[in-house]
Amino acid sequence: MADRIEMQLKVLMLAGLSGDAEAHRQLLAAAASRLRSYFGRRIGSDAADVEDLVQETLIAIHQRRESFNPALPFTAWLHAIAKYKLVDHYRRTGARRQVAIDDIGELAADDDFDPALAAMDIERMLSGLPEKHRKAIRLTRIKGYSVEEASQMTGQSPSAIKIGVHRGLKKLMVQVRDDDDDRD
Amino acid sequence: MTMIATEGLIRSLAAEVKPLRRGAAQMRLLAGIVAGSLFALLALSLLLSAPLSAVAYTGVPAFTMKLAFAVAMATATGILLLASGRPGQRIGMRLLWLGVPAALVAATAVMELMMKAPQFREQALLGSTWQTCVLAIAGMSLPVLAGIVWAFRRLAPTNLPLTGLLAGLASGSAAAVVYALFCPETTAAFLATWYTLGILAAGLIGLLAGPRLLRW
Repeated sequence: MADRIEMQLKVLMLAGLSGDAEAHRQLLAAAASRLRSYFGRRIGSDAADVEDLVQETLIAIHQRRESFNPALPFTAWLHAIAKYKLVDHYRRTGARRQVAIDDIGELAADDDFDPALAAMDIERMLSGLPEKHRKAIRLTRIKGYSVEEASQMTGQSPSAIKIGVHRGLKKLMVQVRDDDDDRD
Repeated sequence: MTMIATEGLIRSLAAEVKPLRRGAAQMRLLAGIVAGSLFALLALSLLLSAPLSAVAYTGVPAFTMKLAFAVAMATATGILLLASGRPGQRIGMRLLWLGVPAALVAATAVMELMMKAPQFREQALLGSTWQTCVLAIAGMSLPVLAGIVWAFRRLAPTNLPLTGLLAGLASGSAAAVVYALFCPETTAAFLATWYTLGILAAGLIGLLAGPRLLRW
C-alpha cells in the first residue's frame, strides 16, 4: 500500500519535473491531502492553522523541488519537508516546543528508506514500458545524463529521447491510475 | 484559509511549472560557489598581488600541495553541503570524509617538522604570512557564503545548524582554493595549521549565521 503510493507520487513528481503541469497539479493535490492529515493529527484543533501550514508547505515543495533527488523515495522527501515546517510552526507559535515521541519514531522510520529499495521500485515501474521509453527515462531522469548524452549513448535523436521521456511518463501515470481504479 | 483557497493555490502553482534540467541543484550550488570565488579572486588580486606570482618562489610542488588540499576540502564539503540541502538524504558518518585531507596534510606536516632541526621548526610553522592567510581565507569565505545562501533558496535544508556549518566550511575551502593562488608559503606545517584554521573559522561563521540565513 505505502509502496504503491510511493510509486504513484514519484511518477507524478518525475513528470512534473519534466514540465508536465497536470502531473504537477495532481502531485500537489495528493500532497495537500497527506499534509492535511499529517498536520491535523499534530496541531489538531485549529483548522485554519492546519490549512495555512498545508499551503505554506505546498509552496515550499513547489519552489524547492530542485532539492528532490530522483534516486531517493518521494515520500521521505515530503515527510522531511513537512516535519521541518511543523517544527518551524512550533517555534513560531511557541506553543509546543518538542515533537511528540511517537512522531519521532514515525518520522525516523520515514528517513530510513533504503535507496536500493527505491531503485527497485523505479525499475519495476519502468519494466512495463517499451525499451526505448525506458532507456530515455532511465538515462535522463534517473541517471542524470543530458538529453544530448543520452542521445549519443542510445543512438536515438535528441528529440526522440525527449518524446520517449514524455510518452513514457504519460504511460506510467495512466498505468498507476488504472491500478488505482482496479483496487477501488 | 480554506481548502477552496488551497485548490486555487495548487492550480496557480501548477500553471507556472517549467521543465527542470536534471542536475539543476548541483549546477545552482556550483554557480553560487564559483561566483563567490571569482569575487574573492578579484578582491585578493587588488589587495595582494597578481595571482600565481608567488609560484616563482614556492616552486610548483608546494603550490600543488596547497591547491590539492584546498580543492579536496572544497569537493568534500560541497558534496556534503548539497546532500544537506536535499531532504531525505543522510549525512551521518560521511562527515568523516572531511577529516581525510586534513589528516593527510597533518601527517605530512609532522614528518616534515621531525626532519627539521629544532631551531627551524617554529619558522616552518609560522612562515611569514600566517595572519594574512587566516584573515584572507575567513574574509574571502563571506562572498562565497553569500553565493551558497543564494543557491539554497531552491534547496530545502532541514537541519539548519549542520547545513550552516557545512556552508561555512565549503565557503572557507573555496576561499582557500583562491588564496592558494597567492600564498607564498612552502611548508606542509603551515598548510596544516593556518589553512585549516581559516577554514574552521569560516565554518564557525556558517554555524552561527546559518540558522538565520538559511531559514525558509
